[in-house]
Amino acid sequence: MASSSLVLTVLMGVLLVAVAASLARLEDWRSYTPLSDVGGALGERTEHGHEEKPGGLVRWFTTVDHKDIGILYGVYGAIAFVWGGLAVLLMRIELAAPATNVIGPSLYNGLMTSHGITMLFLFGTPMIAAFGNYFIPLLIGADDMAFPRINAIAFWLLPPGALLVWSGFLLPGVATAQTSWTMYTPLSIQMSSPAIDMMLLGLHLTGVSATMGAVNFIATIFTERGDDVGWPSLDIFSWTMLTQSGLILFAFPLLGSALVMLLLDRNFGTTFFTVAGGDPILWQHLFWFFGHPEVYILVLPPMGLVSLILPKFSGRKLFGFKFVVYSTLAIGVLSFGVWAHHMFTTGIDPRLRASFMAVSLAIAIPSAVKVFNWITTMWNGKLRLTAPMLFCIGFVQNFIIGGVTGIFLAAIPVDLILHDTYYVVGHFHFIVYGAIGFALFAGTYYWFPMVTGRMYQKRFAHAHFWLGLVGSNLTFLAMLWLGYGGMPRRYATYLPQFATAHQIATAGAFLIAISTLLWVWNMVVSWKEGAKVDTADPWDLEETGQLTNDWEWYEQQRDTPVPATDGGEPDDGQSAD
Amino acid sequence: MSEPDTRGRRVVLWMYASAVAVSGLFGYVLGIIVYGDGGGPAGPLVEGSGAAYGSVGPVTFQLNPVNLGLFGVVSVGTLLGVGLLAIVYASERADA
Amino acid sequence: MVEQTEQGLSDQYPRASPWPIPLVLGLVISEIGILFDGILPVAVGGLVLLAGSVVGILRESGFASTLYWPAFAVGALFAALGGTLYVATSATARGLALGGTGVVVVAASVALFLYETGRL
Repeated sequence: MASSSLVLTVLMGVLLVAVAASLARLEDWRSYTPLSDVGGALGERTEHGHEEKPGGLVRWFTTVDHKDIGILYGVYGAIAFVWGGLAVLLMRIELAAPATNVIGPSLYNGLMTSHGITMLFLFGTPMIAAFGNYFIPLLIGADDMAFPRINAIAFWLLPPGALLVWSGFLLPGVATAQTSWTMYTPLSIQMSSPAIDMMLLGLHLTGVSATMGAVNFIATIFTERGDDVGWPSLDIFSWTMLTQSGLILFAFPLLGSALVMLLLDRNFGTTFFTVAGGDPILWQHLFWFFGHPEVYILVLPPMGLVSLILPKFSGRKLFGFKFVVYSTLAIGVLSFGVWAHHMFTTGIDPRLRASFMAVSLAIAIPSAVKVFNWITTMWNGKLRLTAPMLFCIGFVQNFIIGGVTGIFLAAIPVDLILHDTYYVVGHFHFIVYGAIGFALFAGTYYWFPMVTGRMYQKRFAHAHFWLGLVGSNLTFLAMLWLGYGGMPRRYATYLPQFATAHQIATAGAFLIAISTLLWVWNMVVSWKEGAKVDTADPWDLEETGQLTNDWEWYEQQRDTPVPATDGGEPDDGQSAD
Repeated sequence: MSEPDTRGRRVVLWMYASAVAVSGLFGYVLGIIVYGDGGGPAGPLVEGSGAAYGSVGPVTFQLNPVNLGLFGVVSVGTLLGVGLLAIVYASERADA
Repeated sequence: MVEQTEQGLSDQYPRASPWPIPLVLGLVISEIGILFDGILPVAVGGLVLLAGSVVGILRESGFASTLYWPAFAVGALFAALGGTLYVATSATARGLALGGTGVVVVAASVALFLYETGRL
């Protein structure tokens, strides 16, 4: 013990010295000129060199530029997506036959936990933040986010968070966390693996990150809008990000507190959620009070992306813009009143159940308003079926299936039968992959030319869409069948009569995997060697009067010569078109 | 990137048709997986042997693949059809 | 790579700051060190790193005009929290780590005060 302590002390000393040395290399502390007063946090320094950022890797490790941080978020989200996808592929392979054939139940449970948490916290939320970071300042005409350093801190909290969440897989000899993403007590208190503690810490860090990001988005949208961007002309994506950030602000600190309580129960002998002395159901209340708004935290910005992108390729403005904004706000408010619909079978008071059922059903109304407006936008439109548009249409289609199956689950009598079956799994996967995932893909294709200056490969993108659409519907419809048949969630093995539907689901999962490979390949290769876009308006938005601020920024950007060459005035008459 | 224009109505009608078709298919397969092809019990939801019956209002029908498929087509077709009619109506009023 | 010039990185490049990563590392390492029993050196190291980065980023972004004042504030906060933990709970080792780090940081703030006011 004493010697290991000594080793740790030396290691920490070395780490501190290394950090101090690298800081001293990068930063001259004496150079800080005292500013006149507090509050001059950023943007006040007028004199700077020709280049805005240092070169090489140092740029990426020290950047506080919203576009760089957006790209970092995106790369991070893609890596997490691959991890979560590989986890579920292993699970689906195991589920191709009823018995234990490929991986054991404990590895299955570990992968399942990792898949859920990775997709929701390490892929979904950061991928949305990627779009928010890169494009919100451009859309609202801001120079940067309101708090650039907090922005960087929020991002850099994520990689250590991911390592902690995955620690059970990364550390030899430590059992994986097998609590599933809901971490229900008392199981999550009684499992002794330190991987669970580390997962809770990692989740806590990602929660801190999301909260910091939310504060930043709210401050940015309120205070940094350009002179020409008033509230009435605020774009729909910013509206949804603003609402989402508000939800984060109320939901994530609660998750953080509940996680700390769980950590205290596990390590410090408290009894918040224990069977003896505490109340395991309290955890479910706290968790779902966060967890249900989390669903809308994940879905609102993708809805905003669709509301932004779909009209661009329908050749007309979004139908009923105001109502789409109102429905966004309505969903945001209602989302805090539905959490107990996850708990209909826990034996809570039937009168409470009824009220939660009513509010849950009520959420269908603003959701239906959105669908109505999207389809009405398309109805009289002239559609251009580009990859981003296809993904938007896929979003609407999958969202209808996911939404309608959800309405049934909101009804207590139906839920009592289908609770904890694959029906639930099928329902929410239609939303989280079929809708949210599709909208995020739409976003990557839509802005690809702006971010990279190149065009993606159309053939791959369309193949990605069709494979993803067929794959997701195969997989998730099969899950709905399994649920009607009574197959319970979260098992590595099952009765032989479920084999066919499970095999369909596995086949569909592989289609999704192939489609995702196409996406990754397309993004990487096209970024490196795709055809350069020769115009600042690759989607011909000007024709239909839909050129938004982000594309105008892009046009200016293209017209401005690279700062390294002279850093002076833009060349007159040299614009690309 | 230039794409040929497609009329929005065509795409929307295709979405409608495919949704109705998928729900028909869904009901059909549900009949096979849960209620057994032709009325024999197969899925764990089914209790006892022999055919199972369901009813919507006054109409009672046997739970088999064809009937469930039909149920899917009719119910989803009506539900989404009403929504589609509302969209057509709203579009005519707003875009006239 | 970056050349050593008169200025620091964040003076040359208004869109760069070296502090976020050390700050995050400090937060993560001190959380791990405090949560798991028996790895006090990790807790202390992480807390020192956290304190240093908080002071550094406050100073760099202009929210503080000296180094000694935020250092003193952070140190006093740590010492108070650690003292409370030590006295009021059974988590004495963790309290000691937090309080001890606080004392070290307060001592550092004194040294910074002497240095920055030209008395050293």
